[in-house]
Order: sequence, then C-alpha cells, then structure tokens
Amino acid sequence: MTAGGPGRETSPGLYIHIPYCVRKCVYCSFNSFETGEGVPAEYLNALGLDLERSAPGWEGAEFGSVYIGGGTPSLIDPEDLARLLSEVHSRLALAPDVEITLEANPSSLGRSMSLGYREAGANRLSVGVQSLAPDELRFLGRLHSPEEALEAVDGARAAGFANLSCDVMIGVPGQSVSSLETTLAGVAPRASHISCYLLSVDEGTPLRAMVESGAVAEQTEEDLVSLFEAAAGGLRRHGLARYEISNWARPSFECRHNLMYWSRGDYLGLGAGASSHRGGVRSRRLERPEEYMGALLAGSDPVCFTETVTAEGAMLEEIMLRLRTMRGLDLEWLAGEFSCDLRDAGPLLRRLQDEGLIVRKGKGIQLTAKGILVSDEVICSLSASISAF
Amino acid sequence: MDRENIRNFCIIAHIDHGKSTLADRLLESTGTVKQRDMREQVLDNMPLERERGITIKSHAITMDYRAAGGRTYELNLIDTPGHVDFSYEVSRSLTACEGALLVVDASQGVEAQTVSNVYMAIESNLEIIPVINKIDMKAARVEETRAQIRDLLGDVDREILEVSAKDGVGIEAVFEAMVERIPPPEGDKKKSLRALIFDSAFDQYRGAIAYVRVFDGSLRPGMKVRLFSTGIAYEVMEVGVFQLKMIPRRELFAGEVGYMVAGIKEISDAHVGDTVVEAADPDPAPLPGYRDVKPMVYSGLYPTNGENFEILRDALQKLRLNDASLAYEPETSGALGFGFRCGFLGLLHMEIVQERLEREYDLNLIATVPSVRYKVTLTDRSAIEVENPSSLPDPRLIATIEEPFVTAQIVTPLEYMDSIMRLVKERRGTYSASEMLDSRRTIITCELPLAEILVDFHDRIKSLSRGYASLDYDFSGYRAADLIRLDILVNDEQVDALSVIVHRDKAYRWGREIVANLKELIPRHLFQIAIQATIGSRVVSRETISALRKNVTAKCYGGDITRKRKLLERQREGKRRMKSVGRVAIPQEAFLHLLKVDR
Repeated sequence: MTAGGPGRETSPGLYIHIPYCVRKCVYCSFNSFETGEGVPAEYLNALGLDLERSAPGWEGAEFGSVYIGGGTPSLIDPEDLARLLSEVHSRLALAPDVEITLEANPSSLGRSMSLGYREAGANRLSVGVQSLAPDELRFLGRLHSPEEALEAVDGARAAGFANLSCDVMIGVPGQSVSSLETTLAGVAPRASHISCYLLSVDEGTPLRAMVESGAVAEQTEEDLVSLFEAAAGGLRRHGLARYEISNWARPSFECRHNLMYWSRGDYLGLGAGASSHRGGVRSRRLERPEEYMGALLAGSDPVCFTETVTAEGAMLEEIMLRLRTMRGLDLEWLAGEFSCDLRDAGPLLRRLQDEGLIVRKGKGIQLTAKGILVSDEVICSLSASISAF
Repeated sequence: MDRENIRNFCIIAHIDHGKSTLADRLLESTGTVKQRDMREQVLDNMPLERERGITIKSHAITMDYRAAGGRTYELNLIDTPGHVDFSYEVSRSLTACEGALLVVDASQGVEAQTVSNVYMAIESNLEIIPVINKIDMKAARVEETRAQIRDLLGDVDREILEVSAKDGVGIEAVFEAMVERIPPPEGDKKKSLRALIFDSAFDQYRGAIAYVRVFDGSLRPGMKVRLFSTGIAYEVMEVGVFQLKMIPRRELFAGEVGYMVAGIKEISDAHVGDTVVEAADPDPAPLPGYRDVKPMVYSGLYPTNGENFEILRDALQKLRLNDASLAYEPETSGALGFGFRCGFLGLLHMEIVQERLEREYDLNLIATVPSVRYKVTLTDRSAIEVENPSSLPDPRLIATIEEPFVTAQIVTPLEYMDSIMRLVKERRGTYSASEMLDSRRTIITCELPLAEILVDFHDRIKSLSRGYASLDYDFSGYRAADLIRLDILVNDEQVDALSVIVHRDKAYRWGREIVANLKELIPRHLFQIAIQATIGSRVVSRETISALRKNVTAKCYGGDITRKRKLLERQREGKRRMKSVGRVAIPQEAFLHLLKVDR
C-alpha cells in the first residue's frame, strides 16, 4: 500500500484552464466566455505569471500529467502552446512519461493544427465529438458536422495522437438508442479512450430555460437508463473497458490526470477559476478572466478561495471519488485512515449488495453497472451511515 | 384601606378589542405607571403575548384613584387570560372581582368569546359596565354595537360608555362608573381566613407566588396557613400588592387583592381555584368552584435532532415552573425516537408552548397530530384512558370508546351561516340553537367532538366567513362514538407517529389523503415503496413510490472537488435528519404536513 492509499496516483498533476469559446453551447455551465479571436495574448501572459508565482511551492514534485481544459483549448495557436509548455517545462519537473492532454473542439481542429499541437508537446487529445447525429449536434449548438468531427479525429490520429479520447453526450433530447449506437460505431474504433457524459440541465444555462418553458422535453428516466446501458454495452463490444462512471479506455489508455483526481491526488490548477489541491488544502482562482488577469498583473495572488479539508471532509471525498472508479473503495484502508466507524454501514452494505448495486472486491466495494446509474444515492447513503471520530 | 373604598374588577374583551390599551390608560391616569416607564401595553409582558395581542397569563395590578368627590379608592385590576383554553382560570379571576368592564370594539361588535365571558361574569354576579371602544374609527358602528350589548345583557336601561382608549377619550367616565356602580367587596376581616388563589407565578428565589383575593379574615407574614386542596401547611413570609413590581404590605384584609409568598416550592402546589385557610382552623370552609384542571389536548413533541432530547426535557421542566397546566411524560416512537407526550388545556395553549419551546430554547420540534383523551371500556369491563392513538388496544378487545365533546358558540354574519353549518356537520357536529345578535349577526350553539376541531376548525371558520365569524367552546362531557384506529404502513412497517383515531365514516378519506400526501413527500429510494392506510388488517388506501433508477453525476469537472463535496455534505445531512422506518427514510416535513391534511 502506498502512502497515499491504495491506487493513489502519487504524481501530482497540472491543470491549465482556457476559459474561451467561439460560441458557448446551450448546455454549458462551465467557466467559459465567448471570444472573437483565439486565446488573448494577455491571458497567456497571465498564465505565465501564475506559473511563475506558483512553481516555487511545487519544488521537488514530479508532475505525471498536464491537462489543458476549457472552454475550447484548441483555440490556442500551436506556437503559443509550444511556448506555454516550454515555460511549464522550465519551471516544473515533469515525469519522463508525462501525459499531456489538450481538449479540442472538432471545428477548430484541422490536420495542421493537430500536427502543430503534437509538435508543441501534447501527447493526448480529448476531442469533443459529442454526437454523429446532425440533429443532436444542431440541438447542442455545436459548430461542427458529423463529417468534420470524424475528419478531425482521423487527422489527429494521422498527426500521431495514438492516445486519443472522444467525448460522447448521452441524453440529448431526441437521441435514441440507435442514434447513440451509430455515434459510438463511428467514434469508438478511432479512439483509445471514450468519455460518455450524461447531458445535465444546469442552473443558468439556456438549456435550462428551454426545459422550463416547455420548449424542450428532457429524456425520461427510463430512456436515460436505456441510453446509458446501451453506451456501456456498445463500448464493451468495441473493446473499451469502463474504468470510471463515465470513462472507458483500451488497455493502458486510462487518463492519468483524471485518475489522479479520483484518488485525491495533488494538483496545481492555473488559469481563471482553476482548482488546486495540495496535502488537504483546496483552493480556487478567480473565475472571471479579467479579474484573474488583473490580479496577476498587479502582482497579487489570484487565489480567491482556500479551505483546509477536515478529516471528515477528506473521508467523504475518498468515498465520493474512489467509488467513481472501478478500482472501488477499500473499506479496511478507509477505516484505518480515518478511524471511522463502519458499524452502521454493515447492514447497508449487505442491502446494497443484495440489490445488485455494489459488489465486494477484496477488502473493498465497487459499484456495479446498475449501481453506477444511482451512484449519487449509493454514495450519499454510505456517507450518511459512516461517521468519523 | 377601608373595604368601602376598594373596587375589584376585570376587563372582558375579545382579542384586539382594546383591553390592553384601556388598561394602559387606566394605569397612566392613576399615575401607577409613569409615562416614561410605559411600554405600550404594560400588562402583556411576554413577547409572545405582545405579538399575538393576547394575554396568556393573568396579572393583577393595584391603582389608587382619587374620585371627583375627593375620596381615594383602591382599584384592583385583575387581568384575565384572553382565550378559551384558559376558561377555568378566567372563571377564577372573575370570582375574585365584583365588577367587570365589558369592552367591545365599535367596528367589530360582540364576538363569540365576549358572549361566553359575559355569561360567566353574569353567573359570578359581577356588575358589568359596558364600554364601546374605538369610537373614533371610521368603521365604528356605535349604535349597532350599543344594540348588541343591550341584547346580550338583556337590559335596555344600562348606561353604556363610549371611549377611545388609544386617544384617552372617555377614560374619566370609566373611573367614575367603576367607583359608583361596582359594589365594594364584602367579607369580614374578623372571621377566619379564606383567600382564593386566582393565579400564580414562579420566582426562582422565592418559589411559587400565589395571587390571592382575600374573602374573609386577613393574611400577614408569620401566619401559618394551609392550602385546602393539598392540605399542605406553610408559613407566610410576605404579602403585598402588585404595581409594576411587588410592593410588600403589612397585611392583606378581606376584600383586598395581592400576593402571598409562603415558601411554596412549585407552582403545581399552588392550584388556581384553591383556598388559603388558617393552618389551625379545625373546620375550614373552602371557597366554592375549585376544579382539578386536566389537559384536553395531547400531542407528541419530538426534537428533530435526537441529540436535543435532554434540552427538550429541561425546557419543558422550565416552562412547567410557570405553567402548572402543562403536562408531559417521556414517550418513545419507533419513527421519531425519544420525545414527550404533552398535555395542553387547548389548542392555543399547545401552539404557545410549541412556539415558546422553539423560540426561547432554540429547539426544532416535530409535533404529532394532536389527539384528545379517549375513554375506552374493554370487553372485560375494565376502563382505560388513551391519549396516544398508537396505544389504542386491538379493536376486538374494545367494548366502547367515548370521546370528549364541546359546546361551541359561533358568532357569524348571517350570510356565512349556511357554510358554517355545513362545516359543523362535516365535523360530526350537531346544531342546538341559534339566536340573532342583531339584524346581521347570529350566534350558533352546537355540539362537536373536540377531536374534530383540534387542527384547523378555527381557521376554516375564519376563512369561510372572511374573518368575521368567531368561535368559543367549552368542554361538555364524554359521548360514545364509532371510532377506529387508522394506521399508516410504509413497506409493511407501521409508522406509529402517523396513527390516528378517527370516526369510521371518515377513515377512508383520511387514509386516502395521508397516503397521497406521503407519496409526494417521501423521496424515491433505491427500491420500491408501498404506502398503505389500514384499519386492523384491512387496507383502505395504497400508493406506490417507484424505485429510483437514475441518480448519477456524470462528470466531476475540472477538479473542483470542494463544490461536489459540499453538495454531498448537504445531502448527507438531509439524509441523516430523516426519520427511518425500516429501510425507508421519511423526511420530517411528512410528519409536519399531516397537520394540514384536509379532513
């Protein structure tokens, strides 16, 4: 067992947030803003300042992953990416086999761009395909067609991105099991990794307003269950194994960066609204790009929120995060690590097992496919029945 | 003070008709309370009383009044509690007086509560001085009110005063009427002591302080006295009268009103209505009318957070120090955990106690559906009393069940009479009589099961009549009825806190309503939940909550674990606050909501 618990990614990760998009999608509640051009030079400059300020605190740490997310990170010019990554290299120690992911939008990912990113140092692309059904893409407000999406994916592979992930959206209004299967059939053979996310109707999004006004009907619970099950079945047939609630990979193509999150690893988050975690202290940077850039230009700290996670909070995080992965939660380790009381959890565990929602795995538990569908409820029940002291 | 110069009086008025404001003016004019000490409505000194505009506990206050003729009088105002729940206390306070000011709001007219208090005052032979208040208001209907009062008193010649207590108009005439028309107290100070306890208060250092009216003899420090009903003897430590604080006196003589400190430990030892006699009196004659007051309404009170059980116990103990009519004993519910079965004089009393517990002791409470005390005769002829529906024996063992009835008086404008009569009928009431109060209003007298008016009867009367009708009631005895216990089962487990005793004819409707409500209030679980209403083994209503199939956060975005964890913490707290029945977690709102179920 490692010091950080079973299966803990011991290498920290680096996250860089690019809060810009050409157009914000109807369902998006992320920290992103529409922009006319690419990523503004001032923002890249601020990232550099942020890195400069933050790096001394991470001396001696060897980063196992870099993840550039957004927004639309593929709005960044490959030369800018090269400069950004070289700054990262010069200020932080990166592992020899470091995973460097760039999230990309098919509409801004021509073959030359992929090549450029590859040359700039990225070795993993996560492409936001979402769907190959024209109706669904239109509904989601995506700027690419199905053909453009596949071209972008093929172009990236040709450019050398063997480690390539595609995002697929589940639960788009009007989506059927067969349209989902068509999407998966197009995407899965081309990808080493697939993330399947359920469309969520978040507060403050145009989609929410559309649902509330009755203009859009959400998928029913039964239909969502069918879609989620169809996705799991389809991806398995295409040779991808589920390793987390929403993530599938071919052997050894699991995303290191995400595994780091799910094992409560340390990470440095640069950019507007980015979150960081180090040794039980969680923090977040200013969300609005102008404020974030302003703070850095003024030489002040862009961090606007810091909390020291309590032992009980840490225990909840472990339960919540580890149960997301198929590695599961080692209960013996949890009890030892947090001196927590599992007595009340006993009968609950048995019930969850009887209902086919979890399975025993060694000294731990793991969600079943059925359990995954109600994982929030299972995690909440378990959390409520375990008390730390 | 010479007995001839003493006047003992009370004020009878409906809520908001201006009793406290008039009292304030009397205190001010006599200089009993200086203007600068005057908080508005001095007598209502509990925040809750001020807010609700009612007097919860009695008070008494002594004023000196120099009359037009030059004589100085001692006026003792005995303030009566303003609600039906405390009608016994009211009757004792009235007994301590010779006269009553009947205050009626000129814009509202005579109300049900006024009527019943007037009847009580007439029974106590009080001289009634009618006062029409708020004559300055635009909506004042002085002549109509005058006619109503004459009808009520059955007396056309009596002088009726007109005042505006708010502006101090007509106050002098009130004083003069009191000294002229209210007779001085009778009584012989040479006789053996007889003093009526009409109220009491608790003082942390001096114990229970008895508020007394001396009828015969006198009370002085050093005297050995006995309380007739308990037979316990005490030595009098101090006597005196009330002004804004207690003012000690050397002696209280026959006819006077004041307080007695005698080392009485608990307020429950100083029963309202009891007689203080000389300990050495070999053959004391108690004053008539003493009654051992028993709670009429019961409810289980449970802390929403089980850890607060001890705080609730302490709080109840402290409230009882000043309120002997509050009864409680520990009770356990499978669904709600540890709590107390509490007995109250009536609905308002129950509400006030709950509100004080929540406000003054910062407790969050779940109160079960209020119940009455049933008298149950078993087939083996033994008799038991049941205050908690879940303790009603198996129907096969029951010969008869009797429930308490009340005589209710409802004053309503004519146009709402039909709908009010319909409501009375719905609540299993029977009409006894109705009488016109004036050309527009009538007073309906009816008999109703107390259980039927416990929850929302008063609110319904108010809403049916746009707020114009008023209600008053008094316990009238026990009657047999076809009553049964309705149980609620959640996944085949009985939820004891949701059991109710209802009339057989109403069981189906009640069952359907509760079950439908619970279906909305219980969140979906990982398994299917059956909710049933049953009578014995018979299911009268059933609903199913389907199993939760999907509840998953698909993406843990961008490493913002803090937000996600905080959400989980909130959900976890919510889950922990729910009450478990078997495997089903029932939110507390479900228990609270039942009070609103339409009967």
